[in-house]
Amino acid sequence: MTTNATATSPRVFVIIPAFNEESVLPPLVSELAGRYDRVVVIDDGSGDGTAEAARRAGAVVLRHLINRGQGAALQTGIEWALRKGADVVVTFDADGQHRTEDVGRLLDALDEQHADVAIGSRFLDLRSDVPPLRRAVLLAAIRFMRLTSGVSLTDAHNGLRALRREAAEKIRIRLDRMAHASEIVDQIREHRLRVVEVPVVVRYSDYSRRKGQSSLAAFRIAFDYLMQRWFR
Amino acid sequence: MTTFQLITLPLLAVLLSITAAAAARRRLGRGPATAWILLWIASAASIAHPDALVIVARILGIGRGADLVLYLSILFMFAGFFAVYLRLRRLESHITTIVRHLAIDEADTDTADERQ
Repeated sequence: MTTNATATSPRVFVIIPAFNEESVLPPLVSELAGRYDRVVVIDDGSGDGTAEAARRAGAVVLRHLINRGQGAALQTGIEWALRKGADVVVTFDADGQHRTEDVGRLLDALDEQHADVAIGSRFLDLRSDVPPLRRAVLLAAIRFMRLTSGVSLTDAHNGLRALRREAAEKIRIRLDRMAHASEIVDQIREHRLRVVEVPVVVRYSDYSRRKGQSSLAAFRIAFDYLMQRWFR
Repeated sequence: MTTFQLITLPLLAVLLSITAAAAARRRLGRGPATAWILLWIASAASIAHPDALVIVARILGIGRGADLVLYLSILFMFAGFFAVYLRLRRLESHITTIVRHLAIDEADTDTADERQ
């Protein structure tokens, strides 16, 4: 943890929503904790030792007593980070899909391009080996989003993001489950935040594929998203 | 009067009075109370005068009174499901708010201990 932060170096909080991730979380947390001010793990009602494992690896743990979904966990983490004086909030998936070194790229992009939000994209280059079905679903989702919200990003469903404090304060995730990714993009547009996409690598392992969403979940996600838009 | 009418009409009268009593004691909002009372009256009217129901059905382009009742019931059921869905969603979001509050409170206590 960097304690000698000067006025110019922003306080970076990395928030990681986690549900039963005790096996993969510790190395991830200790690596991030070595580089950034705070690592905040939101234990979303896990039944395993996720909270304890994360704490031992150096994270602050916020514990949801019952599972409320990834969107809910992110919002909890963001609120806590803002209360504790974060200047930048980074969201990071627990399942090992993201590389810790990509966080630095997002932070650089925020600075260099004077952006409010930086979002990782696995489709800006060819480094990510995205399974064909997943690629098809994600590309359909991007088109769907272009249609519903008019925002064109190459990969809007990437869990790796960096938000400046001012942006994080404006964004309020109400969709508790998985549709929050589209909701965040909507709010970026609504609040006219400057967004920049950064090429990152998403690694698909057997673990991440087992823990991740089934491609069929896209229908449920689209339903949640549209209902929220149409009915408050 | 048919046996069916002898059974259902008093039953509807009871439902009507229960609804009216609940509304009077403000256990039921004005809107829902009106909706329920209208439903009981409409049911009673169509049971007491099935011919009138057939006339209404014909006007709407539906052949039989029974079909009209069926269609309306299905319509109301869907409307009901939808209302329940919206309420459930609101409830879920309240639960999230509470769970979040507890999580943040607990972490604040923990990190306060840390500093001591």
